[in-house]
Amino acid sequence: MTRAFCYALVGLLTSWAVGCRPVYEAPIPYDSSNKPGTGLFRPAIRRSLDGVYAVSGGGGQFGREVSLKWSYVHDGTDTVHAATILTGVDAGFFNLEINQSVDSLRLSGFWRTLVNQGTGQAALTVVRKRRGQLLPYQGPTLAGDTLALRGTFDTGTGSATQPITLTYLRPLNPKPFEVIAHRGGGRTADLLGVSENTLAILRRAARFGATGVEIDVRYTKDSIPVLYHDNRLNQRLVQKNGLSGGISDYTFEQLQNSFRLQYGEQIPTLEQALLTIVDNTDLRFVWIDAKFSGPMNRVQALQQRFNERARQRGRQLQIVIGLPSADAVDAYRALPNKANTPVLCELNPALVRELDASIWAPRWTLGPQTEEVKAMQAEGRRVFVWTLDDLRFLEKFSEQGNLNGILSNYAPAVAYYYYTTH
Amino acid sequence: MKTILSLLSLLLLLPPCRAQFSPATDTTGGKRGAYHLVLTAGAGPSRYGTAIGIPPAWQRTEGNYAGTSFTIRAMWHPDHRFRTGLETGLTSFYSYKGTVDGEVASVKVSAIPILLIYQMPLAWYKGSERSFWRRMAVTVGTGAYLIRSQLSNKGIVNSQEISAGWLAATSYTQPLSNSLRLAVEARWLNPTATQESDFSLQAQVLWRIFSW
Amino acid sequence: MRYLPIYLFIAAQLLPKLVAQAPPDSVEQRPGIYFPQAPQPGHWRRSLGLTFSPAPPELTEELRISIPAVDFNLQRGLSRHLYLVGRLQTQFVQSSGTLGFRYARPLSERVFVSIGDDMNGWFGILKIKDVFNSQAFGFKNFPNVSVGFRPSPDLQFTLKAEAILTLYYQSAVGGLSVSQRGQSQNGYAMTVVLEQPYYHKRHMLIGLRTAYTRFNWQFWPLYSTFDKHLFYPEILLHFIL
Repeated sequence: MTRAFCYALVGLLTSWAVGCRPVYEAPIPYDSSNKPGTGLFRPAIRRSLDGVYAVSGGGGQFGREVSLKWSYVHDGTDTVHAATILTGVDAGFFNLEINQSVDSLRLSGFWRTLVNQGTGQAALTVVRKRRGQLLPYQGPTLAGDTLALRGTFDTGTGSATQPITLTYLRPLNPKPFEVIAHRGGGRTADLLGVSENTLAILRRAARFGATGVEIDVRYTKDSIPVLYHDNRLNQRLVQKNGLSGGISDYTFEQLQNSFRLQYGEQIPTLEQALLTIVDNTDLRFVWIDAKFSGPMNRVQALQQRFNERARQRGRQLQIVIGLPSADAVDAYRALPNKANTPVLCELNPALVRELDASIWAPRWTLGPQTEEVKAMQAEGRRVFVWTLDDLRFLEKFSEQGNLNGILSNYAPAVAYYYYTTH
Repeated sequence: MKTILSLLSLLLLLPPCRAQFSPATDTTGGKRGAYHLVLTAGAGPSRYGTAIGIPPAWQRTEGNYAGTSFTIRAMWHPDHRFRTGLETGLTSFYSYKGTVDGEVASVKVSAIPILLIYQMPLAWYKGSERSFWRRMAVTVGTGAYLIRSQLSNKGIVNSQEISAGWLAATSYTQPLSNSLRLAVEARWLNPTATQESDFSLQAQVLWRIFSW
Repeated sequence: MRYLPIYLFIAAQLLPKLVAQAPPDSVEQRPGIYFPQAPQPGHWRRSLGLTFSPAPPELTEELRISIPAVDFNLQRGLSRHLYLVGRLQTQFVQSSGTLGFRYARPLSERVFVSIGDDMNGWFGILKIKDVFNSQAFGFKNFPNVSVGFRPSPDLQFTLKAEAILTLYYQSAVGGLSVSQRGQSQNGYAMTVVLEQPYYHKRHMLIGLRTAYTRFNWQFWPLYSTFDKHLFYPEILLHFIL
């Protein structure tokens, strides 16, 4: 009987080991109202809330310090404001919207950690701290008191009962720096509820702590620049439909008719993406990754058109074309007129100088390259690294403090290290 | 898929245990036996086994999960139970059609496997080829699938994708002569990257073309 | 769990055959590496082959990489039940070495079990102009238990379960290095192996190792950032020498 049990156990173990591949999900536990307006959060109060805070409570899962930063999405005359709290633990962040249904400075939303599936609801109220006591606050004068946020969160239980308090420590690091979110905001694999390289994720990028985005551009068969990362249409990015091949095998109409991205979105054009960034977001940097083959003039025309549109609207936005390969460099060289066409070069420093690129963007896996970075900056160029997701290295690169920007799938982690630096 | 493999591996243990046990010594002593090169050709109906994913923009859609499967296989049969070889062929997976903006559109998907094949008869040491368990074999394959697709909508687009994948099969082989056999094989194809699975039942002809 | 009745049925079919058994000490030796039976004291066992481990799509996305690793096993009997195991794997830019022990006992002439523990060290160096200037090394520990079964004279079936414990990890890019102690990258693995004669007197083993772990040394340059168990299948093909 013992051996029969042994065999049954062996069978069960085998089945368990090879048949139970986990499926990871992280559904957002909060329905945003996306209601325009500021409620009681007038501009002066919002500005005063931007800063670095000490954390008490939270069981350590949000670290000891966090930073809070406001962002907005603009639709015509409507503006939706949101507060992002960057925790520095597991690329974690809170997305909180203004709760306009209560007569206090209250924020409601959710938190998430990007390296895993950690998520839950959260609700925080702005208070002031006087001699250790938390008192109601209506803003904007503090009269010597300290700003704080007090509230509760949960860990996916649906009942936000765990207490957390954030106490204001200091302003955000003011040094110019770009937090660039990869693929418009983050990878589809990071379970953000929207697909990478879509209009939806561009509208959320600032809520992940990003000040800028990188987007991947390819041409359709009828030469329309669209946003898509991979060489092939595959089930990592698009819903199963039996079809394969590359973006350039299909016309834009065929793509619209027969392909949907993983969260149901259509593949957007570059024009739609730039229009969204300029008109709807507060992002200030766009890195167009030239993954296409063929002439660059269509992309250049859009770059120039939307740089001008941003200027006319008083936006401090820079759109640059990234050159990741020799093919892209050749396409850039073939442009008849390179005026008003800022470029970012991912290749070696000699080529950066030859092309007079305004930004050098080497891979982070080459290391800090301190001397080359200094030389580039002395020539008036900025230096970004890509695509830095390893949190241990991200902390080390941030400590060095000599870069002008970091491209990452974990924009919340980059933003945390940037904003909390003294 | 993995659960099916684990069940297959356990089932593999059962017939040898029931049918035969046990010479007390290593089984590789003495002179070597004959080696054979065996060519197999097979054909039969197939049925696609997972959801096909018709685009939401399509209307009045209709899917067809039935297809046909053809196989060519070359196997080395050494003087022991374990056999290895290569397999290719063609299996039509599925097709669907519908209308988009009032125009008829369709998609067809098929696969060409290029697989390394491992095969074992369930019994080996007792009985002759008349033994049922000796005629039964389990086959596993690993390798690549060339997935071919065709879109017909505002023009024709032919495309193809390479996907890693597996094959699992079980077969019964009936001897006809010293060099010719007939077999029936139930097969399961599983290209993993494109998340396909397809079942087929084939009648196969096995020809022992060379022995040494 | 829905397959439980099938497993129980198989177990019930196997049971009568397991009752008749030989005294464990008279059980013969057959060529094998994974099968949990100690070599004769002072005797060596070795195998040479290849392993194929496709990268998880979470890491390589649309690329499906499966770089073969050369895999060499060496074992030496210490006593009737105790033996040393050693393993070297290399893909040239990265390599791994393992040293451990097994304590194995036959339960009958068909059923064998072993427990063991392996210490593993790995390292990799990757320098590609304008792409990589990286290196890394680490130490792991694999406590393991194996169950072996001989269903017929020529077949040896082994199921091995192992825990994957990361003891230390260090990586450097350029002059910048990070390290981590402890067990934040742990996982587990199951290995199913069939060992049998292939042609004439040559034996071989074929197996599948399925690991669920946060880190796999073969893919260190991909710098996985997922704090979740990814699935790493590994096909084993060896000649037993």
